Amino acid sequence: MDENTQIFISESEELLEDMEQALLSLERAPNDVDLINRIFRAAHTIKGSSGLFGFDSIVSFTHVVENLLDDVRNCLVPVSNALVSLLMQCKDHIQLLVGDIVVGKKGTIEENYPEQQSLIEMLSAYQLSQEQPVGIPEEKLKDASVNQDSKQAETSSYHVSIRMSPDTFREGFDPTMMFSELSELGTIENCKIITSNIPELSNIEAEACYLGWELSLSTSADKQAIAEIFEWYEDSDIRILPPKSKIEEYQQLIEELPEEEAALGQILLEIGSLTAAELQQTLNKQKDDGGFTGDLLIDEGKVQPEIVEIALKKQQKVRVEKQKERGFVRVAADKLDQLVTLVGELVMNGAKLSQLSNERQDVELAECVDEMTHTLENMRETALGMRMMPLTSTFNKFHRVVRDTADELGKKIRLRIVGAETELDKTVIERIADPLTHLIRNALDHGMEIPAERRKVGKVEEGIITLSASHAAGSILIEVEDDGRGLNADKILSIAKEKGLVSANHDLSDEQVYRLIFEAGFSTADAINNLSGRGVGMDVVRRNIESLRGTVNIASTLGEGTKISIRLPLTLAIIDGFQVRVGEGDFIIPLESMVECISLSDSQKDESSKHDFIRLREEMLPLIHLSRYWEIPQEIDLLKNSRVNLVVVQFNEAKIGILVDSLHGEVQAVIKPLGRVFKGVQGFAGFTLLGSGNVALIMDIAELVKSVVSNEQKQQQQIENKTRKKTLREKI
Amino acid sequence: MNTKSKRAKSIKLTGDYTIYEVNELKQKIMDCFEKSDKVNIRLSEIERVDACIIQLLISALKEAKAREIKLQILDVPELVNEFMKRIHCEEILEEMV
Repeated sequence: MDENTQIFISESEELLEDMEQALLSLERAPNDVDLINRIFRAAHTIKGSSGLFGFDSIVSFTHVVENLLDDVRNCLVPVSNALVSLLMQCKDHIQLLVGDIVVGKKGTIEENYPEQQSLIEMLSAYQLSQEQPVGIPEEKLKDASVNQDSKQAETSSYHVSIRMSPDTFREGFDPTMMFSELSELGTIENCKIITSNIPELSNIEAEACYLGWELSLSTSADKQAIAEIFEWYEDSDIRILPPKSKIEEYQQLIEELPEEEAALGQILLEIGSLTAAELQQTLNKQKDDGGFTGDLLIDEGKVQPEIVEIALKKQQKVRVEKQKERGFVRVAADKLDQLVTLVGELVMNGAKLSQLSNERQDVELAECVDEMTHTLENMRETALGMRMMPLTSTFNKFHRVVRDTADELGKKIRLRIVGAETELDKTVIERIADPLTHLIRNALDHGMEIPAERRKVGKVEEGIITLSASHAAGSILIEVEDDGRGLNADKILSIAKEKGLVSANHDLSDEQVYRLIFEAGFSTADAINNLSGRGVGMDVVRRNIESLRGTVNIASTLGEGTKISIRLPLTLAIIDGFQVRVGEGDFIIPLESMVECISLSDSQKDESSKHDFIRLREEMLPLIHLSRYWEIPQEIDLLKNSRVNLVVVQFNEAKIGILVDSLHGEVQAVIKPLGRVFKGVQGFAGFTLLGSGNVALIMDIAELVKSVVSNEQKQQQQIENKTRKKTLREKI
Repeated sequence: MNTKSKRAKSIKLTGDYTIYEVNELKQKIMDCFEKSDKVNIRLSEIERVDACIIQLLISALKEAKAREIKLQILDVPELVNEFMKRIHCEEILEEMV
């Protein structure tokens, strides 16, 4: 696929996403003209660019959608939930058509898309059923009629404001075409090119268009005829004010013009309130009298006081916005990744320097290194902060998931979003969307009741799913909470026993029982449908979250609802770790998993050398001998060595002890992925370079804990089986 | 230390200059800005121009002004004059030359 087609696809996807958000909002605000225009613009732009690329199937379908949207814009078709649903289906269909460009599907439209014809028929039925304007929003009525109470500006020509879309040149459009068409309609009386948005050469994206014009056009043609000229410049910001427009319309124009710092006189000229000559004359007078431009314009009767007031407000707003804008620079994501990597290298070099300084015992050097370490830490935090993005876009997508799934299931459910502005590393955001989709679909399907059932138990018909994000102790907490029927611990446990996921005589706390829903193959759904019931989703959810070094917990009250909490690290790039040594190898244990480090007593040493567990404060603690687990030649004989170190780590509720040769303290580790050759090695999350230049492997505590726990369960099962066989033999 | 040449650097545009050549032209101008405080762009042999190039020249003027570089657009042929009139930026042309 060529580059241009790729651009077309990605832009169409963005437009379709915007269309979907606008449609969801339109359902709640059916009279919002801006939303209708936004949806129309998206469809129109997709149609236009599809035409340029020769994707005729998209053009022909989108054309029908666009016709209906045009009728909605013109108040010929009222907005209803049914209409929004149909438009949503159309949006999905366009998405399918766009997606199939990648596949390069062959065959006729009838063969490939049998559902298209029925969509077209439904769209046409809407148009045929409306002959008279209905449900005209108040704003449109204001536009359509001349309000006698409003003051009119003293202009006798159309005023046209043009701000070209950045893609104008790239899409092959040239402003000369636009001007020759305008000239065919009438006379361009005043025209001023707006160049203030063009950046300086070092900052310009040379193929993007930054141009704009303000012009007055004298013509006998109507507004529609002028608007048609700009049909192919739909992404551009085009505003047309008819002669003798109302002051309010000028007000809107001034307020909505792209922000640019301009003198009051220039703004008034741009909107057509003044001619260039009038402005020049006024400025000359101002020079002589030293008066204030706005006052002079009013005194001379060249412009109405309301317009001056609006323009002054605008100038103030523009200055403030401009100051804000100057504080931002767009940076490519890969450059940020590169920066984080480089800062990571610096942090490692800093650690090396710190080690050298400790060896030399030079006070001045140590102070200097301390200061540098402090600066490096600040630098690391700043660099990581640059990769942070709000969760807004990811969260907003779930409005559609909830709406459609609830409709499909005949349930009334509203999605409430809290804390979407919370920021998270962009890599984490990209990978959290799928697990969240699973969780929300499960809540919709299993958790929430149908309206009748809710009524029966005294709940309101409409259920609420709350998706929230917040900061919690250096990590991010994302929660999916529903006010549905809650989890039935007894039912879950009985199914788990039936499937052999837990042994028959196993005692589990409610929390442990709830966690069983994350086991592979577990499902409590009575029937398998396209949403859930196969027990695949939740297992994948858990694995995905754990691969992000996250944890997932469930709290539930029967009859009241369920809350699933996901705790995620702020970033995947760097971790705070604890360095240990086993044999010749260095290892990093993530600090967040560590509970304590202890030196084993003689009896514990003896116990640990014979068994895979020790007794620690009256509790049995499973052990992992890293030397055996990874087959590392060990330097220390546990029985002979005076000190044996044990690091206790925890994952979820399970604790294990890791036996190591020596402890080397806390380190900041820049995580590097392991190469393919390590694919078969279990228990590592990556590697890092130490200050000494040595490589240290970063332990994947979740995997180690699970492996130990699963071995333990197998052993227990074997013991149970043996006991059962023995009892049986004795009976026989 | 200013290591720029005191001699004016010149760029002569020959043939078609449209969106397809805009990035190349941008680079040429930027290189000249690095090497000298006086830069001339000669348009006499240009055969075709579009709004994208005109926009780039405006952008170059802005950069030159900010960096106190003397940038001159010279030998503007009639076809460029005509084009600029068609997109209503004659005023800019006056500033340029």
